[in-house]
Amino acid sequence: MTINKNDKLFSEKMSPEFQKKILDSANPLLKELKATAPAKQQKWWWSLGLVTASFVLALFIYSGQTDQTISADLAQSIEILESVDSLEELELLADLELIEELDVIEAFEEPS
Amino acid sequence: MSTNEDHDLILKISEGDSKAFELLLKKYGDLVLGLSIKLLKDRTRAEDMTQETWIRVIKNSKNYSPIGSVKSWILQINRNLIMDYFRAQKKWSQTDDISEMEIADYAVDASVQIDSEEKASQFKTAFAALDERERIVLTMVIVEELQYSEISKNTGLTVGAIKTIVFRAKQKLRDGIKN
Repeated sequence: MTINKNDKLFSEKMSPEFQKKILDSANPLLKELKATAPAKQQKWWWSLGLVTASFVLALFIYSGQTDQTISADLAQSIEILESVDSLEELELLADLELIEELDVIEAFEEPS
Repeated sequence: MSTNEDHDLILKISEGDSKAFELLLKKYGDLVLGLSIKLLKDRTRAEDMTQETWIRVIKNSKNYSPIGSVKSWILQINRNLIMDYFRAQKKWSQTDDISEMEIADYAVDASVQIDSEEKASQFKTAFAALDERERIVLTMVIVEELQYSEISKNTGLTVGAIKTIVFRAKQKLRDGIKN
């Protein structure tokens, strides 16, 4: 064997007494760490709860905004349709993409 | 036991697992004690340093980051304690008396053959005869297997000075083992 990569050459067997001495001095510290560990876990749950709540809230706000946007678009379309006098005018508005072309034109044509 | 298992043990220790600590102590305890004795040449002080090393392993377990091996991390804690002791005792100098020689890496890395109990005993005696700096630097090379650049970062010595120290120390070991 060589001295390189040889831990055994540098090791000294610990006596059981010395090993116990180390374990005895380690125990209070380990207990302290154990006592703080559940608090850490609780903190983790709190963080997860907070993130979930934020996500749900964001989703709720977003869907509300979408509804509002749709309502505003619908109101605007109705307003435009009410002011239309002829099919040509309607087709012009459709070309300008101010209203949905096919559905609205068909709906306009039906009564006549 | 693999390095990953060592990392798991450290993680468990950081959560206060006494069984994990006992396992790690069984695995590296003899090496930490042996190195402390060989570096300090004083069993009582070496036992104090060993105990303090393991206390620090627990205290620092939360901050442990899995870069490098757990063994290196533990030995580094131990070595830092011993170097601090040497510095306090003014047994550690970074600047004096090293006239750097041009040494090829192969010369520094040439290993000393230990092929019998008798030679192992001679090695221990020869190692104990080295000075503090030679013992520290040589264990960083042999046991911790650090690169010269890492040793330089840890000790403040230049790479050239480290090569010179290792070369001379190995020369002394070879002489001690032959005689």
